[in-house]
Amino acid sequence: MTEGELVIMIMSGPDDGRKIYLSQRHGDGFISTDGSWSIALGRREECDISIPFDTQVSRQHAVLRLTPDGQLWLMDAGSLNGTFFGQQRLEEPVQLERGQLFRLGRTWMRVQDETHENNG
Amino acid sequence: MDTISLQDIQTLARQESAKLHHYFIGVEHLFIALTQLSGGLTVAAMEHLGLSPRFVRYSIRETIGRYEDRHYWPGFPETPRAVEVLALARRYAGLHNPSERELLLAILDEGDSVVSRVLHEVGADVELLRLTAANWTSPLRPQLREIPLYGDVVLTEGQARVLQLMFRDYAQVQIVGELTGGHSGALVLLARPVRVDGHKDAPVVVKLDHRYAILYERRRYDLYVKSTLPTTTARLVDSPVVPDNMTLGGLKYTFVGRLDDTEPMSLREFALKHDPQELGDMIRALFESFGAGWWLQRKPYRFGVWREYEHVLPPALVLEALHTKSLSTSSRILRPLEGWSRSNQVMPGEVVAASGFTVQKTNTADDVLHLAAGAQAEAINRSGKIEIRGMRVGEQGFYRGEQIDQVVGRVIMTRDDLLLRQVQALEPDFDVLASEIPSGHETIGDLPNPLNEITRLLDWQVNGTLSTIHGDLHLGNILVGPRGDAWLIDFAWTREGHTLFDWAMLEASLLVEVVAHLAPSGWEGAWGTLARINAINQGDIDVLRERHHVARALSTLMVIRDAVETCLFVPGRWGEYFVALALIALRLVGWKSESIDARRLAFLVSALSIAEAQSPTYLSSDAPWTDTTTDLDQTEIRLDD
Repeated sequence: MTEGELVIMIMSGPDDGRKIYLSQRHGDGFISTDGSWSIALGRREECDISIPFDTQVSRQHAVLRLTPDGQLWLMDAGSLNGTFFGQQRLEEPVQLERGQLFRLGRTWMRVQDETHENNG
Repeated sequence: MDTISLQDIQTLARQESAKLHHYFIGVEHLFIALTQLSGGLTVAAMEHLGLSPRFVRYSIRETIGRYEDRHYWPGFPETPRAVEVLALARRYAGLHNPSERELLLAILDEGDSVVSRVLHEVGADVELLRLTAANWTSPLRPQLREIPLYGDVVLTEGQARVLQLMFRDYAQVQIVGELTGGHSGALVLLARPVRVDGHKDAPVVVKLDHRYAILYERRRYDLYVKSTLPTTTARLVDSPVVPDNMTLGGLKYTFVGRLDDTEPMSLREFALKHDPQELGDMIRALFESFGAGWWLQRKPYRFGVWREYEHVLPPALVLEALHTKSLSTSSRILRPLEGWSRSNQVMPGEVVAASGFTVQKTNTADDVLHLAAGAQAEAINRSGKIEIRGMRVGEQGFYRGEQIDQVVGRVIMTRDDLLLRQVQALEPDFDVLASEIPSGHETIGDLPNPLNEITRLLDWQVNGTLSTIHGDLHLGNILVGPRGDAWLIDFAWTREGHTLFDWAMLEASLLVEVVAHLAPSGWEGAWGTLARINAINQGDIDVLRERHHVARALSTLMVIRDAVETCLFVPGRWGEYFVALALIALRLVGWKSESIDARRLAFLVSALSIAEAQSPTYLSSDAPWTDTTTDLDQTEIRLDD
């Protein structure tokens, strides 16, 4: 897989089935000094992944981090209603596998095990 | 095997989505809809595998949850996943329209939706479910989901079913109330349909009646009403609903024009809540808005009273069917439009044959067949009514409009007998068989007994005018809109007819349904009211200034009389009107839903009107408006379609 690219699919709600393509090259996300790539998730339009219709999602809700060695980490960003991995509400960052579902407010999503090469 | 169409499923899905305040269509809503089709493939396949559709449905709802009631977008957009699933279903359907089976397979094959996750969570074998559904060949009986009906009106199972079919695209229906009741077999309701997104539509008037009556009403509407209506009124927009397997049908009158959120009410209800002055204003407004298209057509029309008014009376004969074709040579053969129904010559006990009559109505429950002259809309076709009992209506499958070759029966009752019974039910304090009713008030003399006069009255000739008329213009059939518009509903008897028929009906309705309730009870009360009506007839309108409820209520009568005056064939010749009023008031004596006092007043109004009609004031030598020639001209009569 290509580095610095993520495909995220919304798995419930009005946007169920929508795919969001993120790419470092296109300026999505934020790159830290350690080289890891952070994606902001929340209700605000400025977030990399904006979830405007879920009132249980905080303006800045969670962060997805892709480390230089390809690990995916999910962490809550002080949200009101919490970020869930399975039935578990996150207290500290958790490592994600592609294809695993996680939830912000009542919106489920997952990181696809694919890149957007075939989608241009 | 028949499965349910995608469109119906999508309607159900929208209802589900609205119920959860989602306002979008996801795969989960589509699947929940499938589990609600109680005779459908999904339910059958799931139950076959021991899966409870209800449990799965509840699990899905629990997973997706209810949202705050907030709209972010118009309509019910489909989620990207739903779009994908529907496209897949269409692909499976090929050249056909996708149905339940294709949609179910597409949902299972897509495999990534909330539905798939829930099915997995509840331990369903999705692969086996797919296989079962794909290969299902046993017969299914698709049923539509029941639409909840709310309200205080008690409905039969059949009536509820027709209503649900009429409003199948809605989430629920609120029955606001019953508009007319008791005078005919029909049920007329004011209903407010609520859309799946919770939006309440404008109220509509729903009429439920025998399927043939509904179809006839629709035809009359197309024939006489559609092109003559003012711009703001109630119209028949949708096609009637007449399910093949039911005897009932339904019609929907939709209000067109100025509307706000207030429910319209019938003028009868309005009369009880408002000043007589306002009631009068409404009737004046009605005459002004409908007059030009209807009552003011003023085509000269000379007619035998029976042509226009015999049908308001009880049937001329009641027969007990004899189930034989053989007839003794002395027996009478009765044919439509012959004078027998106005001759008083057919006696109870006699065996007669009715030949060439047309079915007007069938009553399977009581096994009664209602016959009359013909099938067309004009009133003459309902003359010579015969009621036949014991015809085994249920087995024979008679239909409205069918012409019956010959029925042999024994006369049980004549119209005179039926009228006599109605008057006896009023507990008369006078001899009902005498030719006169002794006066019950010092300002009125003895009155002719309608029972004695009515048959003769039917043979009178009247000079009047012909117009499009409503045919059943009582207060319950006039609706008042929130902005003071007057609307007509119920065009079941609309036709070309004697112009004053409607106004006599309206006056009789006003007297019986409003004025009578304000008078003291008993015959004395009825005579007191009659005395005031008599004064108005004589042109003495000082009575209206009396500080009495009845007097005040009668001010509305003046508005009706103003309209009548405009419609008279010869100005000032009121006899034309009083003949009509005499017969229609007598009809109301038989309105079982009215109080005995109201029916007493109706009887006295009939008597007074006969006296007025016979008064020499209205007879003049230069242009006699009545004579006693029997009208046997039948050239205008068409018996069937």
